[in-house]
Amino acid sequence: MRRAALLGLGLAVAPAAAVAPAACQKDLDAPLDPVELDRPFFDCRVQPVLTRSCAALACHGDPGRYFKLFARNRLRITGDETQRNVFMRPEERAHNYNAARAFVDRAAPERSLLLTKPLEQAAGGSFHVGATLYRAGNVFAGTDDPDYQVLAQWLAGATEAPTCQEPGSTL
Amino acid sequence: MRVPRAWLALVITALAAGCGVRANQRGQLAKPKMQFNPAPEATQLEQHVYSYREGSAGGYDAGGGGCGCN
Amino acid sequence: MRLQLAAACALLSGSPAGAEPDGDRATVVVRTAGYVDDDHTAISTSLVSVRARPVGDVFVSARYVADAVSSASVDVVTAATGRWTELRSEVSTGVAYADGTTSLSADYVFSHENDWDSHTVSAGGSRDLFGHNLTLGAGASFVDNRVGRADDANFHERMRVLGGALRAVWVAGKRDIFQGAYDLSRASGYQASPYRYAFVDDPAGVPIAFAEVAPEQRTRHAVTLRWNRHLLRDAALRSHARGYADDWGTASITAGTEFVVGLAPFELGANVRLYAQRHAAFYQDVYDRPRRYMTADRELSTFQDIFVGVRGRWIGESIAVDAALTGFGFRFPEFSRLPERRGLTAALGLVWAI
Repeated sequence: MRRAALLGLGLAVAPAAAVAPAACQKDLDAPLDPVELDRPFFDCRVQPVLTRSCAALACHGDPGRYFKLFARNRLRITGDETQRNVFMRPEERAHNYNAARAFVDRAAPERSLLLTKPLEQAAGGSFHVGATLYRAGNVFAGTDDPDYQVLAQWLAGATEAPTCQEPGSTL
Repeated sequence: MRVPRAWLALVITALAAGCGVRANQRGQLAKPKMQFNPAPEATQLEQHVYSYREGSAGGYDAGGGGCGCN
Repeated sequence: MRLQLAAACALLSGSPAGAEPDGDRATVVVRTAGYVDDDHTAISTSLVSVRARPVGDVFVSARYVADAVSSASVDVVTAATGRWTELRSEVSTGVAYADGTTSLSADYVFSHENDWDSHTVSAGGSRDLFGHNLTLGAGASFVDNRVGRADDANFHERMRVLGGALRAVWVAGKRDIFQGAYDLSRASGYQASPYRYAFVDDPAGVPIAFAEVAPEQRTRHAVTLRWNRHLLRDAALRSHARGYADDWGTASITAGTEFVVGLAPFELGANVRLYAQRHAAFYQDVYDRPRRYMTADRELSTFQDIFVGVRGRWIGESIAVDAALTGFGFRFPEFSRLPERRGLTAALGLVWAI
């Protein structure tokens, strides 16, 4: 009985010992610097597109979404209803800037989710629940949409003067 | 050199011991419940549950394909 | 996504014959199984298999498996998507030669889902040595996966898996039989999920979502030992242990045992299986900062699970019927969206020897 128990213990331990020396790939948890994209262009030109086309409360103004966006009169960081229509706070703008950059493919900017999600599949876009919500199609019917062009320009490295001001904002 | 020799000795000893089991002594070993994979289809369905919910793969007899992401 | 390396392993399990009644001409197996858990997932699986012996020592087989999945798991549900359902179909066919000393086999499996197609080819062989006291076997498999995304016409990825397996079965005595196995596989291609997003802490206090990115290569090793010991007049203790490690840093131990007792014409069994895993090197529940690889796959986290089950079988002359019920629990200390998961599986099978 004791011999069988020892054999059982050996049986349990031996496989783990056998695979223990398996080597790991290098730099699996290496940090990644954020994609450098022009912040003034984002605040001045991209944010209005996001507010107009993406940040509705039923869409990316819903805090349950992976891609969450803050905007005036929509989702607000304070959660205070009396503050819903105040000018955007710096931390809200910073969050939107970071959230948008997170959806950028640095190796192939034209394949970024920020561009492909709101684009009709017939024009090369990705599946987007937003295209089915109201049965009205996706945000951009084609790549010639002026708002799509704004996003594409930002990803292509377009810049704006730091003094550029989003209409209706305090920037 | 010691390690390979030790392994060789272990294998030879093991085989020598095993060789003592003749065909007419295998009544118990021949029972279905002593097989490692007595019901291949049942094993496949069981392993399906494990392999698609754990990060490990391999080692047990089961075939199959597909993502099975859930 | 899991590997289909196991396809090669199936080839090495020895004779096509099993514990179930085995017909002179053919054996038909019908199985159905259900899975339900408290992560709002339910799966129904049905299987039909035919094994036949057309000539001499040659065996052919064909199998169809269908999975119907309905899920609202935390893995995939955001405010935008609710419960989803899908059907997976798998067909396989194989040919084998087994003359009692040497076995050779080749198999092909095709699996289809709305977002995943895979083709698996595998081949293997084994040979008995030292008066059938030692069996050595080897096998290899290749899997070509085409990965899609539901309702997305423009998402196309590939993932290929090359696998190999070595097996040795050793008759150690009148009551003991052992099996040792080593499995190696190398996966190349897309290994993330287009449905999952990893979270990164943001100074604003609202985590930022990043599309999952996983390494494109993964090499996996598994070493398994199994020990069947005959007990009493007609009972057996079937034990197994597996060590697993891969080059993503994931490592695990699996151990289990099953006690089976024969009370002719019935056979009853009880089993327990334990699993403990260490996370992949790049896994974090919520990332402290953006990283090269990021995943929200809880199957790459540190976790433990336990399965406890009972089964029974009635064995007739040409028909056998079996049933199994298993309860399970998972503990995910590193996955805050689902710290625990519990559930049940049930299975029913019919084997008809013709």
